[in-house]
This record gives sequence, structure tokens and C-alpha cells, in this order.
Amino acid sequence: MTDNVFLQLKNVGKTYAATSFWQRKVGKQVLSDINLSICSQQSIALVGASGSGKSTLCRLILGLEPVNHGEIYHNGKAFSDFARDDWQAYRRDVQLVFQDSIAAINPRQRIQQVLCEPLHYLRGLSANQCVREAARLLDKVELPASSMEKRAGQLSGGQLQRICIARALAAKPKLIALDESLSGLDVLLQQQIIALLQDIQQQDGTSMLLVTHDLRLVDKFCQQVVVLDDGQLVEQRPAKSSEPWSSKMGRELSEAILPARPPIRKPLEQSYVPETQECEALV
Amino acid sequence: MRLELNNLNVRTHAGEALVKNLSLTIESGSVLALVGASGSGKSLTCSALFDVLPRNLIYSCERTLNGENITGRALRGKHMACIMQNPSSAFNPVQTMAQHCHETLIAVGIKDQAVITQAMLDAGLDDWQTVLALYPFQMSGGMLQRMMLALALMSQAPILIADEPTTDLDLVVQRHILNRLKKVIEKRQLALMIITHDFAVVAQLADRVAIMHRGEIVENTRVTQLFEQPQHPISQQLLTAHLALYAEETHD
Amino acid sequence: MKLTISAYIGLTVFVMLLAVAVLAPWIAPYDPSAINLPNRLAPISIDHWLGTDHLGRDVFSRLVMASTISLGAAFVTLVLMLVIGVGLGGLAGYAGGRTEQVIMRTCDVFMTFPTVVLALFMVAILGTGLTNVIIAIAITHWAWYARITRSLVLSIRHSDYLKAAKLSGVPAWIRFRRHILPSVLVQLLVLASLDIGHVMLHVSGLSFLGLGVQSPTPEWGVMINDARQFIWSSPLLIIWPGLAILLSVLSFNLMGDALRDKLDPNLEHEG
Repeated sequence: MTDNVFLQLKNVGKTYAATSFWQRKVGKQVLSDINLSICSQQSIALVGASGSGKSTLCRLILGLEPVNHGEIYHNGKAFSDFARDDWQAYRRDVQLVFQDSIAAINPRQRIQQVLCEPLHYLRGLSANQCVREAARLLDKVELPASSMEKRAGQLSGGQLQRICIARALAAKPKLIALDESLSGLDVLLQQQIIALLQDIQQQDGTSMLLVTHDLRLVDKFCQQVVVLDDGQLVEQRPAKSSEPWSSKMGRELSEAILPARPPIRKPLEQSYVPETQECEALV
Repeated sequence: MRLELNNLNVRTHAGEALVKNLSLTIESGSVLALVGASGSGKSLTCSALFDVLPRNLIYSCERTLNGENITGRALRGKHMACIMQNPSSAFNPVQTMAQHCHETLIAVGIKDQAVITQAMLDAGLDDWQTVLALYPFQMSGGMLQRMMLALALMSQAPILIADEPTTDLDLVVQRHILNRLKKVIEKRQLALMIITHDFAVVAQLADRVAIMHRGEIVENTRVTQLFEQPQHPISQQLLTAHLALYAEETHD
Repeated sequence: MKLTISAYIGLTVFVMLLAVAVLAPWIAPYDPSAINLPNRLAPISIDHWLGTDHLGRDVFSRLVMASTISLGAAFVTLVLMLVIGVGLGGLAGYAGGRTEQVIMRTCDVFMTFPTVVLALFMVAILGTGLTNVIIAIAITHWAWYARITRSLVLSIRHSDYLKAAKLSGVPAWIRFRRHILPSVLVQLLVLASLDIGHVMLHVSGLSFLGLGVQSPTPEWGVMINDARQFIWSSPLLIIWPGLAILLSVLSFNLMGDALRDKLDPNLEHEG
């Protein structure tokens, strides 16, 4: 698996600095010293609590924000050496499904226009080809072709989530990042979207980068798990391992999972939710 | 303390019924979970309880408190408190937590400042003195949600309604908040109605569960009963999906 | 399209004014500059619908011809303000960093000047005349539009759909034009329609002070100024142009309100 390293992160760090007119002030270090290799055909989960830096790392990988320290390499070439064409090529390889599907679609555009943007700019299709391909994408995410003419306000949250996935698929990427895209969905929708993503993973060989705080989702599609705590990479291990977690964050995340079924005894008689870390300031 | 809500009907001016003939009972010391897919009308029910529905909707219902008919009386403030889904937008960004507390106390007519301290400790904010001086932007989502719980407790309301209180928070914080809620309900013998779409929360926190579908309650039973034998096809569908996704992950 | 009564009134009056301004040369019965001293200060009559002014010129013709200039000047000023304001404000909002700081501080400087003071200054440098008045007003007011545009752009700039467009390979200029500009322009249109009355008052006000349009060119502000000395003997001479300004500004404000009511809450549901 190490011979086709697709993305490599070396000593990656990110600091948010407040800029003023006269000088650059010292800011907050959100990520430090991240070393990670992502191989093609391998799906990875980035887990951590809120504020651990996982979303920031996702944005850095997508190229939405510049890297302050260290470097990210795509097929051996560093981001800082990228020309415009390199970025276009990168966007064809790596795409993102946003968490809030309603905010991720321009409310003024019709769905056809939304899907045609990546088709036109990343794959260079003509207008007619775009329309045909958009129809095929809608079909793949199990939406009716009539959705093409609609606008975001006329579709439900679940439908919009599928359109975001369709848009990510438009460029035929090798890696799709999912930034907490499965959080906050109701259970039926979650089940459907997970099934869809698993299909895509198997049929097209697309790998997934799942950013989440919910460990239960990790082994649905990921082979590796990477744990982030306070901006640092504290643990990396295979997803289906039954070994105990070596990092504190890993343990906290796994203990935070609520059992799926009610306890056997009556709730009021037993304090079944362990309060081990109750007294720690959990902010 | 027993609040009964009977025949809640919410409809638009055009006549479309959004919530149909909904009936619920909330009792002290117990937790009722209201579950449903998006669009089933859960949040509308919550808004109707507090009489804060948008103006383009009409609603009608009968309310009984401890057997006494109180239809038409407003229940907010010292009778019923709410914890909302998005804690960061529930606070006035230019007021400190102390100012929020005082506003709540004035609204319910309580003068005793010790109530603030007790409520904050019960909500899990041990360093309450520091927190009182903070502004909302200085606090994380988990802290804000605990503060919202504290404000609800401060009002001494016997009934607490929580509308998806942990949906936007990560699992670690969620577990702590749910712990706190459970403890507080026991300690103060409050009645809690929690609206959620997560069956794991229902399993661990609630005593009774009502499943909503398209504005109607399709099943209203004890939680253990639901997990053993769901009656309605919708309940079965939701429960099957939940268990298929999460049942193998039990870690206790 | 359901409109309130005030919106209908505003729209009707606006359309009428527009028609008058455009068709002025054909509507005016007399040459507005034709001096006819024997017939000065004549009262309302069949020949002269609104009477004549102190030089015997037909008031109605002057009023009608003035509408072209007053309304025209207001529109031109507005367009100029929008172009400069949106251009600089959009740049500030989109580029951020030092560019934004420089542009915003410049805005601050320009916003400290009261219009009249700056107009006097411009007139002192450039001389009187309508063009200079237009420039003076545009220079004082563009900063307000720049500020508003910047904050509108900022609010959209961090939205997810803009990031999604970037990930879809859409070039920066097209992202601005396709995703940011339409929302910004719609909101600005509402503000501009509410502001046009204000601008008109400035144009007329400055002309009234003698800084803008000069006699004999007919303009409502100038007409008020000319009629000042006759306020007791022929009060109607002041009232007609005043009424014209009042009606115009009122119709713009009513239309602006209607536009805002229609567009603002429905911004997400277009189409």
C-alpha cells in the first residue's frame, strides 16, 4: 500500500493570525506537526472532539486554506509548487462534501447549473455533455431527473445532501472528503447516505476521508483511523482493531458512544452512564 | 406535576395540517422522548407548547396541569423552560452570562442570587465564577449548552423541554450533557421532554418515547417496550435502521 | 404581484414622472427660456397652466423641462456612486487584507465630509455647473455604498457554496460575478431606490444655493431660488417646483419600500 502514496503531509501546521494594518500578530496554533500518508484506494477517518483541528486539517487537505508550516504533497508535488493547472488536476482528484448541504448550494442556482460547474470547469465538458452527465449523476444518487430544474429551496435536506455528493462525484475524484457530513442527520437518512457512499466506494474505487467525532461511523467505510487531539496527531490505527485505544482522546471518544439499546434494569435505579471524566473541564 | 397536552393541531393558513391531533403527557421525575424523522413536526410541537409559532401558522390545543384545565394560559417562564438546539445563537452576543442570569431571574420574579450558583453547579459548571464573566463568543458549544441548562434550572420551572440539545455537539460533550440532565431530573424531580432523532439518546435517557410521523404520533410507549416490540411500521423502520447502524458498537 | 396601496401610488407617480422627463420637449407648450416681460408673474390661465415667472417664462414648460434635468442628474449621480462604491467595496470585501484596510480607511475619510461643504470645495476648484455638482455628490456618497457592499460581500464570501465553487474549479472572477454579485446587487438596488430621493434633494439643494445649475437652465432647485423674492406676491411660483420635488422624492421612497418588502424576505425563494 505504501508504493502508491497519493497524498503526503509532512510536519503540517496551521496558525490563525489576526492581521492588522501594520503588523502580523501572533495567532493561535490550531494544528502542529501532522505527518500523514494517504494511499489511493484506502479510506481514512479523522476523528477528534470539537476544536481538535480535524476540520481545519480537512480544509488544508482540500486546499481551501494555505498551510503555514510544513508541506502537503500530491503525487510527489508540493502544494506550494502548484500552478493553476496543478490545482485543476488536484481538484479532479480530491473533492469535498460539506456538512451543511443547505449552505453548500447557491440558493439562486438551479440544480443543473450547480452540477454543471464542476463538469465544465474540471472535466472540460461542453454544455450539452454537461446536461447529459448531470442527469447520469442524479441517477447515481437516486434522485429523479426532475430535480435538475429545481432550486435549493424546493428540495429537502436529504435531497440536497445527495446533490452535494453528486457534485463531488462529478469530477470523478479519487478521494472524497466528508466533513461531518453524516452528523445531525436522522437515522433513516443516515442509513441511506451511508449505503450510497459504500456503493460508490465499491463500484468506483473512490476512497473516503471521513472527518467525524462519532467513532460508530468509522468502520462503515474506513480502513485506517487517525486521532487528533488539540491540533496534534496522537494515534493512528486500523479501523476494525479491537485493541484498546492508546491515546486519551481515542479512549474518550470510544467511551462517549452511547449504547444502542436501553439498559436491562430500570433507568432510575442505576446510573448506567459512566461519569469517569465528569469533573474534568470539558470545553 | 403532570402536564397533559391534548389534541394539538397546527396548520397553515392555507389549511395544510402540519400537526394532527397530538396528545402527550409529561410527568415529574420522568423523561419523555419525542422522536421522528426531519419534517415530522417535532419542532413545531415544541414551538406550539411555548406559543412561539411563526405567525403564518395557526394552532389549537387543550392543556391540563395536574388535572386542572389551563388552556389559554401562557406556560413560559416559571412553568416551563426550554433548551434549544443551537446554543451559540441562543445567547445575546453583547451580554455576559451574569447579565443573562439576572434577566432570567427578573423574568420569573426570583430575587435570591444563590439560585444562580446552585443552578450552575447542577448544570456541571463548577467554575461558575469565571463563567459568569464570560461573553458567548468566549465559550465553547458544550459550555454554552450547559449554561442554557443552568438558565433553565434557575427559573425553577418544573417542566423542561429540550429540543435536540446535543445534535450540534460532539459525542464526548453529548455524553456529559446527558449525564447532567439525568442527574438534574432525579435531583429536582423535573419533568423532561426531549426531542431527538437519535435512538441511542432515547435508549439511555428516556422512560417513555413517542414516535412522530407526518405530524401525528404513531406510537407512544415505554422505551423498553419499544425496543422489544415496536408496534407501528414506522417505529419498526426507524428502529431497524438504528440497530443496523449502531447495535454492533455497544461498548459497555 | 401583490403590492400595497402606497406601492401602487409610488409606482404610478414614478412612471408618470419618468414619462414627463423623457417626453419633456414634446409636452412643454412653450420654450422654457422664452422671456416675455410684459406677461411676467401672470396668474393661472388657459394659456399658461401654471402662470408665468418673473421673466414671463411659462412655469409649466419650465417645470416639465426641469424634470429631465433634476431626475436625470439624480440618476446619473446614483449610477456614478454605485459604480465607484460597488467597485471599491467589492474589491475590499473580496480581497481582504491590506487592500481592504486601505479602501475602508479612505471611505472613513470621505464619509467625514458633509455634502454641502465638499460641494462648495469642489465648486471652488472646478467651477459651478451641473457636472460638478454631480461629481461632488458622488464623491461624498460613494463611501457609504462601498461600506455596504463590502459587508454584503463579506457575508457571502465565507459561505460554503462559494468554497464549493472554488473546489469545482470555477475561476475567481467568475465566482465573484456568478455567486456574489447577484445577491449583492439585489440588496443594493433596494438601498439605491431608497437613496435616490436623497440624492435628488442634494442636486436641487445645491442648485438652490447657486452652486449647480445656473439660470436660465430650468431646474427645480433653481426655480425655487428664483422665486424666493416673490414669496409674498406670487407664492405659487415657489410651490410648484417644491411640489414637484416632494412628489418625486415621495414616489421614490414608496417604491423603494415596496421593493424592499418584496425582495428582502423573499430573497431565498426566487424562481
